[in-house]
Amino acid sequence: MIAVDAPETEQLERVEEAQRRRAKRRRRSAVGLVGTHGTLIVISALFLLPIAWMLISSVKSNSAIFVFPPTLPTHPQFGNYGKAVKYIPFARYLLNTVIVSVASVVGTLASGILAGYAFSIMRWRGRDVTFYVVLATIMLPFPVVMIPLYYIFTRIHWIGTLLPLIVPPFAGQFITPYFSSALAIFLFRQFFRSLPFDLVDAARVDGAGHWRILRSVIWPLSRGVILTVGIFTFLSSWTAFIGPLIFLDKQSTFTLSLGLQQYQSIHFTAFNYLMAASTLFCLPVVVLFFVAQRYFMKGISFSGLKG
Amino acid sequence: MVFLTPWLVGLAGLVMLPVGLVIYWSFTNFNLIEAPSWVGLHNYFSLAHDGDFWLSVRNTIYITVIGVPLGIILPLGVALLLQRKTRAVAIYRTAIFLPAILPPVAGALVWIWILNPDYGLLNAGLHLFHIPPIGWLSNPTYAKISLLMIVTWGAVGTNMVIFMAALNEIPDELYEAAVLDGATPRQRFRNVTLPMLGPVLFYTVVVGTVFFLQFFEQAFVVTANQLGAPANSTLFYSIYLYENAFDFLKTGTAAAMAVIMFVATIAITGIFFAVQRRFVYYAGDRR
Repeated sequence: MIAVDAPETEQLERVEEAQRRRAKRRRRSAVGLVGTHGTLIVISALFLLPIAWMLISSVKSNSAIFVFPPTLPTHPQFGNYGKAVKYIPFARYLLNTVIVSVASVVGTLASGILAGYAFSIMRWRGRDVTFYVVLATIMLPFPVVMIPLYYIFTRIHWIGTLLPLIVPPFAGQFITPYFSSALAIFLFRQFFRSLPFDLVDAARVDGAGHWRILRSVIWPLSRGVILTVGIFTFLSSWTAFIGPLIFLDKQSTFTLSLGLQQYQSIHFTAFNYLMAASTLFCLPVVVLFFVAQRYFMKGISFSGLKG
Repeated sequence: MVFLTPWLVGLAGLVMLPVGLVIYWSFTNFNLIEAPSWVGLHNYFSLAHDGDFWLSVRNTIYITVIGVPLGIILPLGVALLLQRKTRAVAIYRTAIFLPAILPPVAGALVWIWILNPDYGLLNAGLHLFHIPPIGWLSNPTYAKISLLMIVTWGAVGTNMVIFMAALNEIPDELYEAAVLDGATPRQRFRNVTLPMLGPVLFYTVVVGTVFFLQFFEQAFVVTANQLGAPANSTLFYSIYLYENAFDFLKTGTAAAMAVIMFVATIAITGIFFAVQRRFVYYAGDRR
């Protein structure tokens, strides 16, 4: 009896011990889960707070905005938005920003797809060496070339117009601190290289020229990467600051990045109007982000993983 | 080579020509208006004796040395926390990523308002804890911290997405093998996660460093009325270059600064690439 009983109690004890341990682990992981979510909620809130504060401040009245400690607006002044866009030539700046951004997207896509094709599908001597030049220009800081560029654009009478921001993308030289033509060419080349080469070969055997291959084989397969590059170009062009700052010296050519500075003066800043205008400035990129979130995430992780 | 023509034209006219011009001007007394005349190494020597130049170098090194690790450790931590696959992850990811897509100018303007010494949200928060108001942008010590806050707020999202994707790529087998070998979570992080993240960490270090070496936008917006204020504590390299070029019309000096920046960027990225060969592990056939 005893001889039989002993191992059973031992087994029972072992099972109980295992159960206790599992429960402990579960309790600990529950604590961990709460801790993780708690931390993430706090971090998320901290990152959203400035955006929330921008929205809140944008509907405060002139008297409520300068109160310490700040309060939440009891009567939101949505009229601030109407006043904000009249405070500076907002519509003019908006139009300029749209023109520059659309031109940047079209130009970067056109020159980038062609160059990406030349660096991947076409075969020519010195191709890979030349591609190193593209990679090198990714590293070229804009402040290095901004003075001569300003000088060149002055000499050809482009200063005072939007041309210094419209034309370079078509020549594969869209440059901002966050995205550039060189990166676009890099992304296109990497993607085109990953396409099944048999398709291109088959088209070639059928007598298709490069334009034909590009249009009927590459283009239909590349919608994703084209959208991604297009979105990044639009975003970085819309938000660009240093290029417009150097090249646009006539007020009627200002983009919103420059125009928003005009709410600030040494003596007084109408922060409620400034926040309203900033909100309007942010709105298109936020909408774009929510519509095309997939492409954002893909593009960023792609350049990170393949870069 | 019709396909490459646009890019070649741009390369010649908008890269090679400007780089050539800037190197030439760095040896002249050019001021954008009168014809340049040769002064040899004068611009370089005068920079060597220019206290503001060295201050701008120091400020830039300061923000790079703090900003780059901050912009990597923070998003890496968040990405590790976000590894669980729950519905909430998408919400956190969106919230933290959102600042990254906003125009840097708009972000900086919002922060100017938040950091306002008299009516700002941050000092109001400190007020709750009975901490006296801080002149975030008017005190030289806090001005750099403020800029680091502004930039990090806008930069964490991008690197977080990169790290999340990279963490996703690490094969589960590696962790399973490590668990079977009795590795603790800390050992798993040190010996599996970190080495597998090597290439991505290297990428973010290079991109971050190049960004801070030419750091300009947020610093310019925040001190637009008086560049470098307070007390030149935010006089970064690009800001001083800009001032020399467009405010002081010392184009020759600015050109010399541009050449130094060009050489420094090449040297620093070159060193990074040489060092990574020893430390960064590339799985599979990449590179």
